Amino acid sequence: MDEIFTVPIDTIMAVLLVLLGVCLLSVVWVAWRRPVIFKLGVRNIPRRRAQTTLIVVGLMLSTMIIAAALGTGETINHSSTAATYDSLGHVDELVVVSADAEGSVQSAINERFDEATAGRLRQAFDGDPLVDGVMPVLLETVPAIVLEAGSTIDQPKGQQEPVAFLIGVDPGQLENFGGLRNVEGGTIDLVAATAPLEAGGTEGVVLSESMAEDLEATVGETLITFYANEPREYRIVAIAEDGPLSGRFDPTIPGMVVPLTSLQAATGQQGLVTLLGISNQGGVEDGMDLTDQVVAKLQPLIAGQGLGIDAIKADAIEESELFAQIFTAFFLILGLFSIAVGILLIVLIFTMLAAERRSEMGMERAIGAHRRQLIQQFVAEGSGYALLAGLVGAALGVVATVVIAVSIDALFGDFFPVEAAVTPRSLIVAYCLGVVITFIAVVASSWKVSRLNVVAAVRDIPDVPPPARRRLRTLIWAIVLLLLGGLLTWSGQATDTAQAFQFYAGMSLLPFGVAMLSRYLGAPTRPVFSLVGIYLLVLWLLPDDVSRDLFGDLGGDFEMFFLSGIFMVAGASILIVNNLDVLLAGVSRLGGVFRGSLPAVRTAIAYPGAAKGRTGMTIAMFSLIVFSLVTFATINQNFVELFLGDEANAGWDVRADALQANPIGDAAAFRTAVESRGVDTAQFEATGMVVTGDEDGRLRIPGTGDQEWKDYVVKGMDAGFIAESALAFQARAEGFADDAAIIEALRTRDDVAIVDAFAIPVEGDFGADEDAFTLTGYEDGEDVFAPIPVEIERPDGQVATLTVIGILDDEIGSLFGLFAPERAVVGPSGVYAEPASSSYFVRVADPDRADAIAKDVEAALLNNGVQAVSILDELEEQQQQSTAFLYIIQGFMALGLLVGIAAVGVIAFRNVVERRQQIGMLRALGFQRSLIARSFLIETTFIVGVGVLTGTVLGLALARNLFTSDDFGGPDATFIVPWTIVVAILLTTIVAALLMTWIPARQAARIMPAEALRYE
Amino acid sequence: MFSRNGKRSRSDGPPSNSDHIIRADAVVKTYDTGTDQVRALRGVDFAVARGEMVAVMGPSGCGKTTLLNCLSGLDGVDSGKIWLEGDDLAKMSDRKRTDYRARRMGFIFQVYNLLPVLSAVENVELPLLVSGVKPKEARAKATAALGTVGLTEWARHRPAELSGGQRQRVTVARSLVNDPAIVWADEPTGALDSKTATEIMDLLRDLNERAGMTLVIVTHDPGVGARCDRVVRMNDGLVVDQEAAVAHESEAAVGGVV
Ligand SMILES: Nc1ncnc2c1ncn2[C@@H]1O[C@H](COP(=O)(O)OP(=O)(O)OP(=O)(O)O)[C@@H](O)[C@H]1O
Ligand SMILES: [Mg+2]
Repeated sequence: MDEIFTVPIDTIMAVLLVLLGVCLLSVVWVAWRRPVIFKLGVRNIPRRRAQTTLIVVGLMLSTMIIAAALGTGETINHSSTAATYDSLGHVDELVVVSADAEGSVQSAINERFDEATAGRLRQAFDGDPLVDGVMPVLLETVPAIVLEAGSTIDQPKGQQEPVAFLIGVDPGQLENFGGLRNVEGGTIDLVAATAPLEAGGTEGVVLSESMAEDLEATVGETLITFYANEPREYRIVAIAEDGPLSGRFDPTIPGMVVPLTSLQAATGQQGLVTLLGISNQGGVEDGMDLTDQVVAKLQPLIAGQGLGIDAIKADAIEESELFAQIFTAFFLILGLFSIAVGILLIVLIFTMLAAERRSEMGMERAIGAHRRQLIQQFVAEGSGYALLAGLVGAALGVVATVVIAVSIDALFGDFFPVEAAVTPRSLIVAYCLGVVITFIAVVASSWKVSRLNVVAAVRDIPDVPPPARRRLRTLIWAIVLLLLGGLLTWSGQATDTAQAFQFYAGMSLLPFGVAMLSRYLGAPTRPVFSLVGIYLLVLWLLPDDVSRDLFGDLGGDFEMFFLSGIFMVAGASILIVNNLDVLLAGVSRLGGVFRGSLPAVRTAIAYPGAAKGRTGMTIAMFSLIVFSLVTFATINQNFVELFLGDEANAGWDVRADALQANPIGDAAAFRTAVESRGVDTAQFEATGMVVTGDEDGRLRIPGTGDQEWKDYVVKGMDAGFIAESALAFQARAEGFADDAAIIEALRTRDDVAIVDAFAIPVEGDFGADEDAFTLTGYEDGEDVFAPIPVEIERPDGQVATLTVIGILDDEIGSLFGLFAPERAVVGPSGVYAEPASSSYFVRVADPDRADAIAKDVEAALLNNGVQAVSILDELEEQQQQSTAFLYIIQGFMALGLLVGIAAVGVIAFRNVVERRQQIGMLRALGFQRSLIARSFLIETTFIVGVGVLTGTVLGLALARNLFTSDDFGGPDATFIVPWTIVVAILLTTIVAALLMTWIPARQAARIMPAEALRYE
Repeated sequence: MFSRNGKRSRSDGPPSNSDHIIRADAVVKTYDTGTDQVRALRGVDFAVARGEMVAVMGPSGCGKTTLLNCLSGLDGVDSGKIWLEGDDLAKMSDRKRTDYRARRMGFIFQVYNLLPVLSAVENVELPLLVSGVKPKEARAKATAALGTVGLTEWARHRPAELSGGQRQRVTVARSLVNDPAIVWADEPTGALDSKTATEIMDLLRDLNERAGMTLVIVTHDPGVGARCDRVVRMNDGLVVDQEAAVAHESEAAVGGVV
């Protein structure tokens, strides 16, 4: 992985190393020039073990989160790159049938061309070091069965695989591609191995290792495949390593290999191939560097022959990189919440350390120490913690990466084996960033605490800050905030790429400027800041349509989630802290209910009320974390529900996918076929067929700025499917009054199409694929739109045009692609001559039996290589998988909770120390031990409870807003609150916080009154 | 149950004069500082009669505060016995001792008396709330107690907003608010000017006489000692002299320099 947020990581690392150097130098400078101050600071580190431990835990989390985010990206990149090298081996580019120079093997999988091209290319590259191999390959997708003892080729039984790749390769080229190797690493002589034992006897086939495993097949057994509905028998003669040469280039599809001529003969395709694999000079990995040169040289050689080049390896590697970057960015943005909480913790810790040493510091100041020296002292101490914590954090980041990698592997390992990988570079970046963040936070909070009132500090009485009124500092702040806020707002609104981020950040800073100004002019703090809090909450919780009306349509990306969290939580915390007494009075009244605890409640709420800064920061920390968790979980849960709703399956229960190698025919033929093989079709209420014209179709919308071809699957619906599907549309083209009108048009016209909701362009869609087709011209949220013509590239390079007249409801999760009447998609008047594959849809009488029927259908049509599923089961499974994946992410986000919990611990330990005498006095007055402990626990419950509740409420409110906005479910979507998850988050947080308070609370309860009252 | 209790109290009870609200026999208290041992009390015999007002005097570091802490059950002793209204203090559980403090004792400490985060009236009502008095009643009593020390106006202020003398008076109010049987006061007038000190002493004397409250007052002020029924003198962890106030008063006039 080389970039994050489009900035090269090397640059980031260089900048961070310089920053770290600056930090370290300033510490070294203090140590050298002011050794006494340095010692005073550093001396504090080992003084309190428990406290130092908690501080290090708190400080390390930023580093850990950054390391884990980078590590996860790297893991994904590494795993996906490794998977690419595994599947492609020495193959760097493919030559395939294509209408233009850039080909796609996906689209061309059913196309064939003359194998003579291979020879021509080999000649052209003769003596040219660029290319060291050209491999002609014929590829067929077939079902396969390993015959059981006793069963025959006419009635084959045994382990089966409906879809497998059977490839024919040129044995003479194998060595150029690394050779076909058996599992032990020895070379397999393909020709000799597969030759029939006697003339006219059964030919041999070499299975890939994974196919042999799937089928539990061993050498010597008989394998049956079907082609053009005819069975064909092979002897299994060897098991080869997985890789392109053994037909295994897709981890989900097993493969096997025979000599090219053998497959050509068997399928009647003499002289034809599906693709040519090109191996660049060099090995599996370094060969790729020559891709551009090879493509440049190849292009003229194949021009004008209906062929194109698929730079498959370079594209896949680039995709891995991109995918990994998206992952990293995603984890980083989600991690920002935890990092923000970590920064709050640092500030909190240092203000508390300062409070502890107030009289000490006051004394130092009184005897002539400069403010700067106090800062230096703290910085010395703080960087000690930071450097230490960074190491721990980086190490734990690796652990977190491994945990995430293992979890993802457990989920997706079948398609995509995941193996943790972290480079030192990531660790260095994480370490530097963590330390620099900590350092800055330490310097800032030291600067703040060093401004103490010497007299007040020495006598240990509270600092009474001079009134903000008429203070120059207040005015300067006001002006800075107003200018910055105004500038951001303006730039967010004015530039042509209107940016929600700047706009909202500006709009959120402005009120602080106003507040500062009115304080300068003498307005009282409380109402002013309460208003700021309310304003922020209102601004960020405006329903989508209202904010659109007010501010226009602003492009917002995923990072808005973070921004909204920060400002909403800030608003709520400011509001709460400024009105804490009201809240406390309420709690105190509540405390009256439990009379035994009343004194404990009294003290428990008095302390947070007296230390507003501390309380506010703790509340903010918890509400921020809980906010992020609740929002994320709620939105996801709602999507799951949305996609699993009653409409999701469009009225169909079973889908059977068939490939073209063993065609079945139309829906009626399908019905007959299953019936003839013993399936009771009386339970079929309706059948329909959808043919895929091109899995990798190329589409564009004429008249728009972007005339690049985009990828989208093009599908054709037969009459049965059009008539029997439960299709609902979220938007219709002008002239179509209702859904029935669209369906009527699909039935009668040849030039219309519909698309699923994925085609709707989403502003700033996070991690969206630029090459994917979107319905440009349609504004999200519109119910009616002008019909949109879409151009589709035909295999011959011509262009066909269909008009989109409807957009499917996003609740229909089982249909994906551009759908048109079958005759418009395939056949003589269609875009494509032949279908690439067909799917048969069945509605059954008893939907609960869908799964059983799917199994029956699959068994019945095994020879055709049909795979059948219960549509709802399939959707559910997909959702389960994505839900599980989201749990991993939530686990990662929950790391921030650790920060919060560490904070609770730090505060509680500090409180015990600070309140020693007071606790002793309370004990003398008759507070039982348990009452003291209870007071601590109530205090934690109160603060954490307020934080958690605020976060929950804000999270649910935002989730609701987002989900019912037009970008997502729309205003009519039913919003559900995932109470189980929310309550689980709430309880876990509070219980964890209470556990963390438990130890200090017990310490407090054990304080001996006589002892405590003695010490000054 | 009754008979058992009765028997126990007869056999284990204090050897004489059950009218002593508190009685200490040969109490020894040693502090172990790790490096050396400080013998703060070296066999103290001491008793206070119900309704008595006793002053404890002696040079700094002689063990006055230690004695108070031990007698009130805030601190344990190494040897010797303490009887609190007929019960052996050593045999009482921490819970019971704490409960006893809440209901029957009032405290004025040498340092650290008030919770800085609570207002004056909240500080004063704390002992009442602890012993389960209803919040309304507690508030009324606390306000009245603040009235007796002349701080009605200051009820809602936090300690930080009060002067040292005012804080001390809040402490006095708190020590009296639960009508304790005995009040332990460690230099209650230490931080006060003589006029306020006299007022506080008048108040304490009055409560002692009218309500029969027992008071044990540690003081360096001979004037305070003079107003007590009895002065107990300590030196180096031992009670060296227990004299009647009358005898003491003349002495105080001679050496009363504070
Ligand atoms: N927790 C302790 N650990 C060690 N030594 C202690 C402890 N508490 C008291 N002492 C010692 O016990 C002795 C008696 O202390 P105490 O506080 O009772 O004196 P005091 O008579 O109240 O003095 P003052 O008039 O100054 O308040 C002193 O020497 C003191 O140093
Ligand atoms: Mg003392």
